[in-house]
Amino acid sequence: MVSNESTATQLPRDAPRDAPRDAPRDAPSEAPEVICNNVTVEFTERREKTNGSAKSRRVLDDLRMTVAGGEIIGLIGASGCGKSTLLRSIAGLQPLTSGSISIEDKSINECRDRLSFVFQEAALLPWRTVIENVQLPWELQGAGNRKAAKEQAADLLRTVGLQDADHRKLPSQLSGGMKMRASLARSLILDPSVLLLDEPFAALDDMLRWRLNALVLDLWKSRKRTILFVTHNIAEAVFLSHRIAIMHQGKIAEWIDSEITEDRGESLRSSPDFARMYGHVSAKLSAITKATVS
Amino acid sequence: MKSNGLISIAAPVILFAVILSLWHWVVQFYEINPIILPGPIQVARSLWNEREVLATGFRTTGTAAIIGLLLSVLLGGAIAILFSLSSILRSAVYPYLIFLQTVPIVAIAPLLILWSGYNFRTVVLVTIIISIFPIVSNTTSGLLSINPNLRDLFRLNGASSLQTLNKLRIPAAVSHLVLGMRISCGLAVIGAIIGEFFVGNSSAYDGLGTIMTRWQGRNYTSGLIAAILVSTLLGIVFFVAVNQFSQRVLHRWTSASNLDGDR
Repeated sequence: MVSNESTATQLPRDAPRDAPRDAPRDAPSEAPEVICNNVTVEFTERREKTNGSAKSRRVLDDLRMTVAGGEIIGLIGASGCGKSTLLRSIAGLQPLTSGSISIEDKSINECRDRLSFVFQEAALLPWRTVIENVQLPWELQGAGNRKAAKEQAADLLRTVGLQDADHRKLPSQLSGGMKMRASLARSLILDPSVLLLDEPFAALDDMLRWRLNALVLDLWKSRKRTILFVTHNIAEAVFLSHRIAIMHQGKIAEWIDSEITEDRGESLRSSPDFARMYGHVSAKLSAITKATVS
Repeated sequence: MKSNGLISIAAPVILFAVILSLWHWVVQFYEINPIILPGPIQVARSLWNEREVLATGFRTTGTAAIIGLLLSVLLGGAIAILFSLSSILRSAVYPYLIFLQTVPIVAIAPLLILWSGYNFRTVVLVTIIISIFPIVSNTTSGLLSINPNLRDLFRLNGASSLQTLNKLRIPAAVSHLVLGMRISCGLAVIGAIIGEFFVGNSSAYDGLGTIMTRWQGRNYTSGLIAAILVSTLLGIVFFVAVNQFSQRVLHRWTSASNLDGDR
């Protein structure tokens, strides 16, 4: 059901709907709930930009959000609305000015090893082979047996569609799509409970993006983890998300529940449900942006 | 493609032949005194006649330059790592490194001789002073200019400072170190020869710089030009050696920065 609790033209002060809908079916207990309580993040602008006086800019403004375990949440909104900052805050990469973020009632620092992050670029170490890159989190966290890590890395690379011959290649020898696959495999090596994706497919062409969207869904089906992802692509948000959060000026301006209940195969993109949902999200996003401009 | 390859080899060879012919013609036509400018044939004859002396000079100067360059890499790399770990240290020491770079080496060399003597060690010291700055500067820049996403990746995985240094900063700085070495390898040869100019008249020393000083005193111009050619050859050998080392041994670390493709 699409949330009608707020209208786009009258933006609510608080997030209109911060409670999660029911967790997706079959979501196992390892997929944790993520709660953001009144999260505010302010950036201090550099002095030379503000005529000598330090000035702060509020990027996240008293944001509240609850994500159920095993949910896929798509974060969309105009550039600068705070999507990536929210994701970085959940990952513990961005200090909060106020508020708190918890995962299953624990602070981020306590469960850092349960989180994984995929960046907009593949962020592979160019001097390491693909398989060595995938093993990196294991090495850094001292997670144990090197041989087991290697075997697991190879399995994951096969899962994301990279053949054995590619495992020993350097990143410079791979295409953009292959690098993103390797990056996805790396994010899964420690079997994280929460996967955070910051526009991971933004630089790829549509066909490749669709294939990798399907791959994310396959990974979710097999592992049922909590996934939050940032995108500027409405079709991607509709295809992947159980709920879409439209962000605006550091808040979640609108939650939209996905109406799509059928199995999300490639045929979904040409279905009436998909077109309707796409139109609905576009209209909401557009109305929210226009309301601010006017 | 094949004709392009042929042209790239033939063009410099033809130019070289033209310059030699012109040189020969000018010397013959204007009957220039061989003490001022000997002809190319005379230089070639000196090159052959003095081959043993020049080969010894090549080895001695080459050894001093190699040792100086290696010590510059070790010392410069260590300084760069310290700089990357402490911005206070960097701010405190960097101006003095620039000072060391700007003070003319000819002004320092007599002082070094006073402290260290007329020996091989002084030549190596001069080589280090001349060649260390590009290595410190480039390597520090490599250690500090890390891709923010990679830095975040290490933070996300709770990497210690030592892990970040070993697995991220140092490998990322290798291509910058190689760039520094490419600049410094030429400087190392220059440094060794300048050092030898000062160690100079000591008969126990037989580097190219010493040979040049000796032959200059004897107005042996054709030998002097031959020694210059051998010094140039030494610089080229160093440059090629650093490139080969970068391509064959450090390929994994330098390939992403396209160091091998920009020649």
